[in-house]
Amino acid sequence: MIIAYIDPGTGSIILQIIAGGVVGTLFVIKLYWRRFKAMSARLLKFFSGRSKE
Amino acid sequence: MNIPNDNSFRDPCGFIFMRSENMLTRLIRPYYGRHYEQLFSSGLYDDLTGDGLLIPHLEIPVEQSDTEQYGDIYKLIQPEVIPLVSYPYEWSFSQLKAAALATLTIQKKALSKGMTLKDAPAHNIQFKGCQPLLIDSLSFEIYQPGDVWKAYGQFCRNFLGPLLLMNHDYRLSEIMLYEMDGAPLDLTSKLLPRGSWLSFGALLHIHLHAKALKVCKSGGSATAKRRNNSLNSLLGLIDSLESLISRLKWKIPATEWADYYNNNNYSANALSAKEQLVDSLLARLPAGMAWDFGANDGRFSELAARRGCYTVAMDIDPVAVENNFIRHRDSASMLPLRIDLRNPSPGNGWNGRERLSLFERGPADTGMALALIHHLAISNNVPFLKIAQCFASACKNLIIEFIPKSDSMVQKLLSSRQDIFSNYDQQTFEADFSKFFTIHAVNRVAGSERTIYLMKKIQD
Repeated sequence: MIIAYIDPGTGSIILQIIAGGVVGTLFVIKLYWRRFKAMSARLLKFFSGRSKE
Repeated sequence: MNIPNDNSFRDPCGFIFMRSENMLTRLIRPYYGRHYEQLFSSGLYDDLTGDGLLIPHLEIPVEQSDTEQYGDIYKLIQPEVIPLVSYPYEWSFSQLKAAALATLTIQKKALSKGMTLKDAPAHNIQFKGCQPLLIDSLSFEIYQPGDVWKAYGQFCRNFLGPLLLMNHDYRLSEIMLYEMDGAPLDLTSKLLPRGSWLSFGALLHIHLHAKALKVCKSGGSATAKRRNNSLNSLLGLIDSLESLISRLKWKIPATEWADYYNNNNYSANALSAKEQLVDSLLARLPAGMAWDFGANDGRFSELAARRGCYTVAMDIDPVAVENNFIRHRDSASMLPLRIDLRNPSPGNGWNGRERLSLFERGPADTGMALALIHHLAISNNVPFLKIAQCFASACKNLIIEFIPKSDSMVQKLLSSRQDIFSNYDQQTFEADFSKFFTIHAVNRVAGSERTIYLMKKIQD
C-alpha cells in the first residue's frame, strides 16, 4: 500500500526521472573512482612494503 | 475529549497525543504495521537510534479504553521527550545545514535497508542540545523498486532553498515563518542571484525544479506515475544534494553583536566577577530548563548548562547564534536559538497552534537576562513594567542585570537620541519588577556600576 500523504509534485517526479540519469551516472562514476583510488592505495602500500623487505 | 495534538494530524498513519499528563504517546494505525515491522526487522531502527539520528521509543500496552477512544490501533509507542521543540525559523545557518545533512544521512541509511523517507519537513528534525535527530518514527515506508523520492520537493523547499537564500541574505530565513511547507521553489529561484544558475546543484534542484513544477502544474501525468527510476538514480540524487549542501559555507555578515565580548566595557576582572556571581546564583536554583535571553555566543549560558540545566541560549543576532552553535556542536544540553524578544516566534499554522509560540513552550525554571535591560528599555522604549510582565510569563526564577544610566554602554545608546527615560533608574526597576517577582538577592558586580538580581516569580 502506498502511504505517502504529501503531494510529491508532478514536476518534482518528472525532474527526478530526467535528471536521475545524469546524477545516477555521476554517482556510479564517483563510486568506482573511490574504489579505484582505495585499491591503488592498497596496492601501493603492498608493493612499497615488499620493496623495503 | 481526546484528540491528536495540534501539530500532529496530517499523516493518517498515526498521531501524537497526551495519553495522560506528561505522557507523550504516538498512536500507530494498523495499515502502517508492515512498514513499522520493516523498520525493526531491517535493523534500521537500531542503526539510526544507535547513531543518535532517530528518537528512541518504548512500546506500551494498548488498553481497551484506548481502542474505544481512538478506533483501530496497531501499536502505542512512547517516544523520548525532546526538552524544547524549536522551529527552522529559529535556527542559524549551520543548524539548518546540520538538520539537512542528518535528513540525507537518514535517507541513505533507509535506502540501504529497503526503506525510504516518505516526508522531509524541516521540523521533523529537532535538536537535543546541538544534535539533530528525526522525531517522527512514522516517516519511513518500504521502498518500492523503481520509485522516485516522494519527499524530494519537500526537502528542497524545507532545506536546500532556505540554505541558499540564507547564504544570499540571512534575513530571507524568515520565509520559513510564513510558508508552512518551506520556501516555494519559484520564489527561491527568483530571489537567488543570477550567479546561482552557474552552480550545477542550484540549477538542477532549484531553478530547473521550479520550471518543472510550473510546466507540470496541471496535474499528474502518465510519466509521473510510471515507476522507472533506478536505485542508482535515487542515490545519485541524494549524493548530489549532499555534496551541494556540504560545500555550502555561510558568508558571515558583519552584525552588531557578533564580536560583543571583544567590544564591551567590562574589564577582564569584572567579567570574571560577573561569571562567579551568576554561577553562585544559579547554584541556589533547581536544575531544569534555563532560558538565557540575549545569550550572545553562550558564555553565561554555559554556566547554567554546567549546573545541569537544559539551556536554551536565545539571541537576536544570527551570527552570535551561529557562533554559539559551532562552539557547542557536541553539546546535548545547550540549544542556541535565534529569537528576537521584541517580536518572539508566534503561534502559527493550522488554528494558529500547529507551531507553538515561544511562550507557549515555557515557562522555563530559570530565566537569565544579562546586559539586556537597557536594550529593551532604551533602544526599544519598553517600560520596566512591561519587561517584568514578559519575563514573568517566560520563567519562574530570574537572574537579571540592571545597568544604570551612568554606564558607558547606556550612554552610547543615548548618544544619538533625546533622553526621554526619566524613569530609568534602579528604584523604579525594583518597584516595577516587585509587582511580578520577589527579590531574593541583590549583588553589585565588582569593578562595575552594574547590579545582578535573583528574583522569584510571585505565584498567581
